[in-house]
Amino acid sequence: MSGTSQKHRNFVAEPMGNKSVTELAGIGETLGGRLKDAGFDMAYTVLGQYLVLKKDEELFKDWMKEVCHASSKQASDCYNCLNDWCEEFL
Amino acid sequence: MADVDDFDSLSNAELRAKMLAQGLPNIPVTDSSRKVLVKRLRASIGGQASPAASPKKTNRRETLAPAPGAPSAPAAASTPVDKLDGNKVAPATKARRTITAAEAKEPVRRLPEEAIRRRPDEADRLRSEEPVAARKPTTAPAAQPVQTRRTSTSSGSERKVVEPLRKPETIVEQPASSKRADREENYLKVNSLIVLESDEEEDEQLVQAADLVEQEHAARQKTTKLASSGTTTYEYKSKVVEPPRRQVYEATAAPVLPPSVPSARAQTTSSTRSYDYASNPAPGRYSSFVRTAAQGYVTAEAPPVASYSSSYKRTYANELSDDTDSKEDQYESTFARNLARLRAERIGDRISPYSRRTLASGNAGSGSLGYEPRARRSLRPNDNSVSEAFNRWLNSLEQKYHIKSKLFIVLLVLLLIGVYYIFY
Repeated sequence: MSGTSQKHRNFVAEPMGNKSVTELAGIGETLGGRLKDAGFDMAYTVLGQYLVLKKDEELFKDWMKEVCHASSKQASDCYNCLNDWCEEFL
Repeated sequence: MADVDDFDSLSNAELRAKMLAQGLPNIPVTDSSRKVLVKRLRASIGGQASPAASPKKTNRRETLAPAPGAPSAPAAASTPVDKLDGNKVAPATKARRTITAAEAKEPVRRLPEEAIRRRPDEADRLRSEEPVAARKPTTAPAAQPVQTRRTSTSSGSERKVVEPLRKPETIVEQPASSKRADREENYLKVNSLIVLESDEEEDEQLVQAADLVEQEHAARQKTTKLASSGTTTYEYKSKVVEPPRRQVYEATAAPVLPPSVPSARAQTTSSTRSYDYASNPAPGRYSSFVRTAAQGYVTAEAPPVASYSSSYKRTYANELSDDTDSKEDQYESTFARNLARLRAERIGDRISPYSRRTLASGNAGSGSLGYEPRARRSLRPNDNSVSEAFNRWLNSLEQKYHIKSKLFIVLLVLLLIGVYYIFY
C-alpha cells in the first residue's frame, strides 16, 4: 500500500475517545451520515463492529459495504485505520 | 429455497451454530453483522464443492474457477487480450494487488454474491450453488462480463479504446525518435567529418602551397644563380635573397590568410615551414589531423619566434648565409656561459676586471669631470682605509662644489701670479 493519509495518521496518533465516525480514515460526510443512520455514530461503535467481526478484514469490509455502501478503497482505509489504532492502543 | 428461508428465519444463535457446523470461524452473530455472516454462510454452502476451509476462499475459487474452468476458451480469450493491450496486463495485476491487499480476489467473489443477491428466485440460486457444472453455463456467458468488468473496474474499456491508439503512437514515436537520434548522429558525423575534412583540406592546401613555394624558390635560386654567375656582387645577392627573408616574416601571417587564395604571399610561405611540411610523411586521415593540431601551433608560433630571434642579430652579411643559426647558437651559448659564470661568481668577486671594464667603458667617454667609475658599494670589499675615505670625501665634495675645477683655476691663477712676481 502507498503512504497513509493525514486523516489516518491523525486518528492513529491518539486514543479515539469520543471521536465521531467521520474521523475514521475513509469515512467522509456521506458514509458518516449513512453509518449514523445505521446507528454507528461514534468511531468506537465502528471499532466495536470491527472487534465483533474479530478483526476479519473481509468481513469488516463486507460489513462496511453492506451498511454504508462504501467502496473497496474506503472500506480498506477504514479497516487499516482501525487495525493500526488497535495495534497501537489495544 | 428452504435453506435461505431458514437462514433468514434462524436466530442469531442458530445461525452461529450453522456457521460453526459449516466450518466458519466462531464469530458472534449480532443484528449488525447478521447480514454479512449470512452472506458468508450462503457462500460457504454454495462453495462446498471446493474443499477449502474458509468459505471466502471457496467462493473466490468458485468465481475464479469459471475462468480456468473453461480453460481453453477464456484463457485463450484473456491472454490475447492481455497481449494485445500492454497496459491491460497491468490493470489485471493491479486488481489482483488490490484484491490481495484487501485479502485477495474480493471483487471476483463479490460478483457471484451480488448475482445471487439479485436473483429473486431461490431455485436459480440453488441451481447455481449446488452443481458447479450447472453454474458454468451461467457463468460462461457471464465470463465475458467478468472480463469486461475487470476492464471496466480499471476503466479498461476506455483504455481499451485508447491503448490500441496509443500503441501505434508509441510505435510511431519510437522510430521517430530513433530517426531523430539517427539524424543527430548523422549530423554529428557529418559535422565532425566537415571539421576533419576542413582541417585536412587546409593542411593539404598548405602542404601544396609549401611545395609550390619550394619549387618556385628552387627554380628562382637556380635562375638567379645562373643569372648572377657572371656578376656576383654582394648587393645583388642580398637583393635576391631578401625576398625569402620577407617570406620568413610573412610566414607568420600566411596561416591566417586563406590558403586557397592564389596570391603570391599566400603561396610564398617560409622555406622552413615548407621544409617542415615536406619532411612530414604523406599524411593519413587522422595523422594529418593530428599533425595539423600540432603543427598549427608550430606554424603559428614557432616560425615567428625563430624569425624574430634570428632577425634580432641578423645583419645583411648574416642574412646571406645559413650559418647564422650556428652563429646565433654560438653567441647564445657564450652569452649563456657568461651569464652562468656571473651567476656562479660570488658577490665579492664582482670587482673583477670584467665588471670594471664594463662599468668603465660606459663612463670613460663621458668622464670629463674625472669621475672614477666605481663598483657599487654593495659590491665593494670592506677595506675602509683612510685613502678610500679621503677619496670618497673628495668625490662627494667634487660632486657638490666642483672643487677640482676651482682648485685648478686657483692654482693657475697662483701660478700666473708667481710667474709675474718672478719676472717683474
